Amino acid sequence: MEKSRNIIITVSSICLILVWLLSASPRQLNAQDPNHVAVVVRLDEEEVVTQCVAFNEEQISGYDALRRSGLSVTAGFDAQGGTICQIDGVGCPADNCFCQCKGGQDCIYWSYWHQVGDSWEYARVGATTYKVSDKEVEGWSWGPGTISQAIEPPAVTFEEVCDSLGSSEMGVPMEESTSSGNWLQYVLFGGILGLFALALVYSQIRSKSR
Amino acid sequence: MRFNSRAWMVWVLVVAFLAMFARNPLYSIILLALSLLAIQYYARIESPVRSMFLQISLGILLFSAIYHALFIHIGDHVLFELPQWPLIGGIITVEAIADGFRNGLVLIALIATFMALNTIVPSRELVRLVPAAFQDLAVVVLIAITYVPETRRHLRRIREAQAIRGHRPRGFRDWRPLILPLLVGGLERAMRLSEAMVARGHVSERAENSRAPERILLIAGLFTALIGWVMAILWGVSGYILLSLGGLVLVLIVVRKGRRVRRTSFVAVPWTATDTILVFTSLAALILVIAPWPVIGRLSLSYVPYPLLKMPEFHPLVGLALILLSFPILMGMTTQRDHDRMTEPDQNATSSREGIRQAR
Amino acid sequence: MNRTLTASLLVLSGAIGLIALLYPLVAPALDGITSLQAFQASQPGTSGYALLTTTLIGISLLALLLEVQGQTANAKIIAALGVLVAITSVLRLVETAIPGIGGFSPVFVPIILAGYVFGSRFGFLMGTLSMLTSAIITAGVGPWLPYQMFVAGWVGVTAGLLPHPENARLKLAMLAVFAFAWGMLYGGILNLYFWPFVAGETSAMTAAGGGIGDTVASYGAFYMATSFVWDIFRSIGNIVLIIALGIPAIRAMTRFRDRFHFELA
Repeated sequence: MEKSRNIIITVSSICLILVWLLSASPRQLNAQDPNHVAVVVRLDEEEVVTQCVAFNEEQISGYDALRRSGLSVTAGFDAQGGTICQIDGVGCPADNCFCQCKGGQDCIYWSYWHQVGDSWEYARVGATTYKVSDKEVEGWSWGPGTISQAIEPPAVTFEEVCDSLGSSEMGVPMEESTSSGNWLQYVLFGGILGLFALALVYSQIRSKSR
Repeated sequence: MRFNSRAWMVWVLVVAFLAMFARNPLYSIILLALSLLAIQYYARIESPVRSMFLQISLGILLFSAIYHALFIHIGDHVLFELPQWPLIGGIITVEAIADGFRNGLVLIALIATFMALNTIVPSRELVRLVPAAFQDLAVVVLIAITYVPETRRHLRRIREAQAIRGHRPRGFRDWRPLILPLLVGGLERAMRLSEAMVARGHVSERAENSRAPERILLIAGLFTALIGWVMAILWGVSGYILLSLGGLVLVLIVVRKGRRVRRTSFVAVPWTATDTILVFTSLAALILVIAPWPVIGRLSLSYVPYPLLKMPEFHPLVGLALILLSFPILMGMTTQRDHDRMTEPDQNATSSREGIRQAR
Repeated sequence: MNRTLTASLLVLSGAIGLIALLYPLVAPALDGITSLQAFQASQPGTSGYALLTTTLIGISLLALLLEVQGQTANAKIIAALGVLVAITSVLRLVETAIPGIGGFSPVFVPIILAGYVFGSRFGFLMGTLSMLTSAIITAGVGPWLPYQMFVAGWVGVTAGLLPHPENARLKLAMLAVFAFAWGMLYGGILNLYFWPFVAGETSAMTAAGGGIGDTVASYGAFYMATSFVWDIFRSIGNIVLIIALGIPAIRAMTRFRDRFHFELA
């Protein structure tokens, strides 16, 4: 009796929590966001992309700023938090985020920078942890990544990126997950679980028939 | 239907490894189900963990979800925002909670796997798995396991004697009149036991064991392993090689030492064709999942709910590889169980009888 | 020669334990020195980290066991160990049978006392084998076992290194402080091991992302949430038990040791 009541309480509270969780919807971005941050991405020697990112919050993470810039971003998440693997098609896939590393010093990846005053400073903290505020400039540079070898992004001021405004202002809504896709795989998964359930029922029937 | 405990060990290690390796909740659920079914079909030993498994699992899920929610502030589905408190301040997201559940599921699958080992393989056979080089230690553990029931009886007698004298255990102070007689009595028994052991020809292998070159090699191997670990953490692959090299040195020493130890085994535990198949299917599943095949969905092995929660993928080939691990369950379903669940001493008696029968 | 070898093996194994356990705390500080993305470049992830570390600890545990076993193989020691381990395991079983508070568990006191009386090697075996045996009889074998054995073994080793003052009160006070310290340390160390497992790969090591201070703080939060209270109770329980049992138990074991002419270096 006591036990069944406990189970009912547990199950119903889990259901309530699930409903609450599912009711949350993705953050919506507003075109008239008051704050801006400039993002400078150095894809290679020639190509540099700059974007002005608008945001509503007081601060957002460097990672969010990059994502909202409208460039396609692939990040890997592991022991140390988020890591940027690919920006705008340049870089590595998420499951092998440091595919251009041969161990030790020879490592090519996205180095992360903040502009302090007029110069670039190598980031000491990951992009998912770092918080940017209004009028800051964030930099990303593809190349040898260690602090001694990294190539800093070109000198660009906040005003250059965000004042010319108009078309370059970005407040891109986040991409919706598109792979609602292949339901067949879940049918297979369900089938396997169903077989397991049968095996469980069978063992119970058998032990009862003894 | 019974499997050799060595074969079970392989199965359990493979499932445990995959549980830690495949961090996709769908795969974790399958591995968890496999362990639970194996327990359902083969468990012989009651385990305290088993009776509380549901509570433990819920506790882990809850704790992991809350911990992730408080410490990871990434994700687009924001539930609410905590003020900028140190450490835990920031947005609380559905993604972090989902990640907490995913992580909790990995942990639960791991616990279930070892619960399978603990409930299926009898303790004496676990001790038998100890390599011959550690024979003395295995003997210590065997003595200890043998003496545990007796020590418990001893403890009960002491408490009864105290109860007769009107003594009721109430707090810390009461440990003293309980443990001291236990200790003195135990040491007396150890005395008699060691005399009996010497009388029956237990030989100390002192001279044999202290070979200096081997010990230097041992230190060198350990040092290599340490360097390898550091390198693996800092630079990846090259370190793994060194670490395995260190491990290999140790294994070699263990094997060499083991050769010098003569061990009499009273019951030859049979190794049958089904054991071979069990080992084979387990290893095949392992290789199928972890080897870097181009076809098999390696991407689906890791599931990251950030930044936007989505359904985890289920790759059919990985799923099929995991199904290979259900071989023991299949065998359990198709063959009759030769005896029902029993208490451990009985089971041991039957197992040795059976061993003798099969050895003939 | 003999002693140097044993000592160097012990030191090496201790260093391994320290490095492996403290690594998660130090890792982010290393970041600050070099670079975060570079540091992450070769990170195997926590599942990799946990697996690597379990392997390393396992190797070092086996090496120590091999070494110590070679020095102690003797019917008397084997019998004494077996019986003492049985007693310790039973104490672990009956933890709940006698009223104690919270996380109190009496297993460490016998390990400490045995290490103190019979020496470091005996203490090491006592610690590791007690954990092994009680895991086997309570069906508690798991990936945490090598760590438990390793740490409990070190409880015994360090107990064997303590000085033996004449004054009984002084001896008791020293042992009580020692038992308290290990009670706290044991919880802290095992938590360090579990932390990446429970906290998960995303948050474990750099929850707060900054220097070592933030990581320590984040670990501290985890520790407080999981086991601080338990550890306090365990440690206080250890003190009480040492004060209640210490002297008579040491006397009983010393008598036994002398009767047996233990030849332990």
